[in-house]
Amino acid sequence: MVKPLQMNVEICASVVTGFEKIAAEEISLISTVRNVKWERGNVRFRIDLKSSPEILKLRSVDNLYVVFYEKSVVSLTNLDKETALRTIQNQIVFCDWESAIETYQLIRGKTINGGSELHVQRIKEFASNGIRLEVNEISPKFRVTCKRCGEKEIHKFSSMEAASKFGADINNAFGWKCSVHDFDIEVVLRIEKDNITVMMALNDESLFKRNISAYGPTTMRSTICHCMLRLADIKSGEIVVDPMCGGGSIPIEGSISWKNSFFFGGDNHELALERCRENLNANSSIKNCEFFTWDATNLPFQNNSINSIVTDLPFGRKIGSRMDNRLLYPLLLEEWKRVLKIGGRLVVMTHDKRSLENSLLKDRSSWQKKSFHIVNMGGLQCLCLCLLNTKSS
Amino acid sequence: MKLFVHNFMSSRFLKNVTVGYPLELTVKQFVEKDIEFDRENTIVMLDKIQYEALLVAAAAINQSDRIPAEKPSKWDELSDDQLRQFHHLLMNIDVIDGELVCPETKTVFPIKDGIPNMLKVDAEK
Repeated sequence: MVKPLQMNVEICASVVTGFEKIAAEEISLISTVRNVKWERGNVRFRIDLKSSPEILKLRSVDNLYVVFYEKSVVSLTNLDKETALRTIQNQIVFCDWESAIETYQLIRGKTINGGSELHVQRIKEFASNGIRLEVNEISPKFRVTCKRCGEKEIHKFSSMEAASKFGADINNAFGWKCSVHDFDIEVVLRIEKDNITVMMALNDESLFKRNISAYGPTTMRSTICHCMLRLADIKSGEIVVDPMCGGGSIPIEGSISWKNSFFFGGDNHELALERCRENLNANSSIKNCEFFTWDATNLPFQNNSINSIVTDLPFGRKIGSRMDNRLLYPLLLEEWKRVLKIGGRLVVMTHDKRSLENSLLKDRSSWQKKSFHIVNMGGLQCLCLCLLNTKSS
Repeated sequence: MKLFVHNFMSSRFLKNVTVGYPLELTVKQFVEKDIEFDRENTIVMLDKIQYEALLVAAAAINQSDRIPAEKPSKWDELSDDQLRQFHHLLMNIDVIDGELVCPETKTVFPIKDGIPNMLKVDAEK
C-alpha cells in the first residue's frame, strides 16, 4: 500500500487553445513533473503528490484538475441510452478515489470528512452490497459536470443525463450532498466517443481572473498575457513595453511573474490610465511597473533602448476599425522598430491578420517571424505572432 | 514615476528634435519609498543607465550629494553602502507631480499623480 504522500498523480490543466506548448514549457519547469503531453485546450502531466501544490503557482493555465479514471468503453456510442448510462454509472467503483481525495485535500487545503481511507472503504462497500449512505449536516456538497467532445449526436444520451446518473451514485456511495450552485467538490466527466475520463477540480475561481479588478472593453485574461510575455523570452533587468496597454493587464502580469525585469505600459486614453491606476493599486506589492499617457506611434524612448514589446493590437472590432488598422499598423511597426534593440522581440495579438501581414510585408527585412499561434479569444480566431527585430544598424 | 524611468525617456519623437536626451526634470512633489536593496539587481540596472541623465535626476530632487560627479569605472567594485545610494535614487524616489521638458524645443510634458503625459497634443510649449 503506497503511502499517500509518495503517490504521483495525473493532472489535467486547461489552457488557452493555441498556447498549449507554452503552458507545457512552464509546467515542465516544476521539478517532479513527468510525461507532459498536450492536445487541444489542455496539457496533461504526472507529478509527485507532495510537490503538487506548486501547480497553483502556474501562470499560463486557466483551470486544474486531478485525473482519477480513464477508460475506453467498447462501443459506448452504439449502446442504447439506458445501457450506456448504466455503464457510465458503473465506472464509479473503479475510479481512484484515493488519488482524487488526497490531491484535492492537499491542494485545496481542506479535508473531505473521513479522508481518502474512509471513501475507499465506502466505495468497496457500495460495490459489494450497494448500500446507500444518507446525506447529513457534515456531508460535503458536490456537483458533476459532463462535457462531451466532438459530435454530440454520436451518443444516445445527453451530457446532463450522464452527469445526473454519475452524480446519483456518488451521492449513494458517499452520502455527499448534490448542489449545483454552492459546492465544495466538482467532479468532471469528460466523454469523447468511447472514452471516459473522470476528473476532480482543484481550483475554485478560474485562475485567469487574477490581477485585474478594473475591466475595460477589451481586457485580456492574465493567462493569455502570461503566455504572450513568455514568448518574449524576458531576462532579468530587461525593459518590456506595452505601447497600447488598456487597463495594464500585460504589464501587470509581467511585473508579477518577472520580478527582476521592468514593465512600462502606456495608452493614449485617459480612461485606460484610470483603470491602470486602479489595477496597480489592487496589486500593491508590485514595484517594477510604470504607466504613461502616450501615443503608441510616438514613444518617448531613445532608439534601440527597449528589449521587448508585447501588446494586444486593436482588432478593429470593439476599438478602431479595419480601415484604421491598414494605416495604423505600419506606423506602429515603424516606431516599434525604432525603439527596440536589434534582436529585440515583438509579440503581438490581433484578429486583423491581413493588416498585420501586409504591414510586415512592407518592411520584411526588419522582422523575422519566430513563431505564430492561433488563439481563440472570445470566439474570435486571433493570431499571436512573435517577431525578432532584424533591422540593420 | 520612479526616477530610473527618466533615464530612458527621450523627446526624439517630436518634430525637429535630433537627440532629445536627457529630458530636463522639475519635481514638485515626490515620495520616498523603501524598496528592498539587492546588489546584483542594482548593478544590472546601473549597467543600463546613462550617468549624465542620472545626475540631472538627482539634481531635480536636490540629492546630488548621494552620488559622485563622475561615473565610477566599475560598478561591482563599489561597496554595498555606495550602491545603496544609487539604489535609493533609482528605485525609492517616486515622482508624483512634476514636469519633463524637451531640451531642444522646450516642450513641457506634465507628470500628474505619478503618470507622465507624453502626448504631443496635450503638451505645452
